[in-house]
Amino acid sequence: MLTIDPKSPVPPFEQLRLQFIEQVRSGELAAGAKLPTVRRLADDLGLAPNTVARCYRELERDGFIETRGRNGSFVSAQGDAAEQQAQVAARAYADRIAQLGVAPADALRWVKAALKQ
Amino acid sequence: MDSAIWYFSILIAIVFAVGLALTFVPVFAKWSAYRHSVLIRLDLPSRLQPAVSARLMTSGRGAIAGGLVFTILGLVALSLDVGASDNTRSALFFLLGTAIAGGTVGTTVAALTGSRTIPSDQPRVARSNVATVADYVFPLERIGTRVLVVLAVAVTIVIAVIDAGGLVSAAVFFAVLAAVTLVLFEIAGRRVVDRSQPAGSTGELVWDDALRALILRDMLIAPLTLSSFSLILGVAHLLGGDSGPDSLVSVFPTFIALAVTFYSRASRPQRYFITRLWPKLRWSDTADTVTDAA
Repeated sequence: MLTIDPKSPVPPFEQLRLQFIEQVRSGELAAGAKLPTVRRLADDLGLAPNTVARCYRELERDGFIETRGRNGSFVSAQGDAAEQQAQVAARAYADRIAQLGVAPADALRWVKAALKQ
Repeated sequence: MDSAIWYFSILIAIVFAVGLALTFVPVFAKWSAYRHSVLIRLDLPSRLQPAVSARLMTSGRGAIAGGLVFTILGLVALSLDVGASDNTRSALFFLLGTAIAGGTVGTTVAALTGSRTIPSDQPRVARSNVATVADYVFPLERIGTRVLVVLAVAVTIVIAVIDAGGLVSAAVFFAVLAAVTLVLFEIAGRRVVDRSQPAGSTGELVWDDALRALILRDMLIAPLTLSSFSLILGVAHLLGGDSGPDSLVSVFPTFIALAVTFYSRASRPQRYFITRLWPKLRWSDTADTVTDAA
């Protein structure tokens, strides 16, 4: 969840950037997660599209997100090469689980069981 | 036209008139909002209730207006001997089908018009990831409707191949209408989800999601109902000759439709968006104090 407080002394651009970084680092935004379009997020948060676009550019420059042409912006995998591969695999598993309509709790249970073997 | 058709038209007009009048009654609007709150087990803060009631009533008015317009168009078509007017029963189904399709069109138009604004000095809350139609509509309803529409179209194609004279029948009409309203859902549904969600608190965002889920599920009523009608009539026509809807074979699609409906209801599809978009949400999480603090 993103919150922009217009009364805060921190500029909206910085509020947005810091919240995205926090969510990527905490795993709330997982690797491969799609971000809203610039226009959509600007409309939702009442910001100028340029503000959101600048935020996305800086996040991309710092390696937190990546832009895949017209497909949009996605959260990049973080950490070393092994951690990045694991995050990509986790995203692929999550996408497949969503396709199959399986409950997240069941999916997590199976992953835990598989990891214990 | 048969007098039964006129009686049925008058009945539909009365239902629409009463429904439309109710949307202008503040007590009914308030009751609808709280009823929906209980149904999805989501607290409705008193400060959000007027906005939620207003949006529910706008959607209701859209559905009723759409149903009314399409019913009138259906009556005009019947009076001109266009459409499924081969017998009185089919004509009644025809009118019911047009009313249901009109309701979906009206709901869609109401959902895609109008905009919400938040004062610029208020905090704004937004989702950091992307939601899709699949996050709002229970898979059984979303995929089940597609399956039913494909089956209905397949049956009508078989009818057309076997019996070209039966082309202008209620089954074909319903199948075409079901396919059109399904395409409408697939296109307009994405546009509904892509619309911006200006929200000043988490509670507002949750309730916007709740209303979106309700609208999207309402948009599925027409393809679901019409394809069921088409299957009932089509299978009856194929297996029972001219026995029409009275045929025993029509019991099977009806039974399947009822079973799907019961299973869908038991799965609480109205709460599906919460499990997808707000998995950690509790009843009290949208209460005034919590959301204001957030």
